[in-house]
Amino acid sequence: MTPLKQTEQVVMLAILRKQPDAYGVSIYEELEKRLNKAVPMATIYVTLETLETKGFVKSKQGEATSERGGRAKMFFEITGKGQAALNASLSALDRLRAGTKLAGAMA
Amino acid sequence: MTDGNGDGDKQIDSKGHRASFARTYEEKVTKVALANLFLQKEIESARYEYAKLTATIKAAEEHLENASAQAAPSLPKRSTPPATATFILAFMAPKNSAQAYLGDLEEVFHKNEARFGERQARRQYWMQVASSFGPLLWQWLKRIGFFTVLIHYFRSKFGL
Repeated sequence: MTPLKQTEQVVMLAILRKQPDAYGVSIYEELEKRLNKAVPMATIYVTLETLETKGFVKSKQGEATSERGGRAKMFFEITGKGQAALNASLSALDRLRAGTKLAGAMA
Repeated sequence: MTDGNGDGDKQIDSKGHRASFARTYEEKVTKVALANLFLQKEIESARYEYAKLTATIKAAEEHLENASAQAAPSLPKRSTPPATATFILAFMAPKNSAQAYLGDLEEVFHKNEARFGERQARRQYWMQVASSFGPLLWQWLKRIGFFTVLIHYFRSKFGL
């Protein structure tokens, strides 16, 4: 299975958290809130495009609103294949981390 | 005699009946004429009231319009993201997600405008555009197969 990069992991986790309202702005705000730093919108879109090419994420066109200049939203959701890949990737990290002690880590 | 008297009585009765009928008819005609006159007066009065009320409503509407025009402050003009930045992004962004991407940036722009003001929102929009160059250029080069061409070139050049 294709390994996931860290950016891909965080974007996929943000999509999972914002379901079923996961689109560019909600993902951007979720990442900013949880990571305490702003991830450029372009990075999010490039990552989403890569994930879609890999078949981990699928998109669908949403409604257009005036505050978006009449442009439609694009909603994202994680496919079954994507969930399996994310689970494998996070489990690998957990296995690697198990038993290690980090100074300043939360209990 | 009796027959002659009887005929005379009949004639008198007939005349009396006619007179009574004519009186009743005249009374009824007078009543109808009076009722008609009364109705006409009522209609005239209603028309007058209607005209008066219409004029009052019109005056009240005009007054309300003037008052609302004076009281309501002029709505603030809604600003738009910098056109040059939008044009650059539209040129660089991938075709299938360009509209969604630009829409998202515009939504963030309006949120920032409400929170920090137009000046700061414009600055942040430009920063988003600047930070887009790297990832979008990288993605574009990958999409057109630039790196494959580059690798092939170096392999053929150095005989690898």
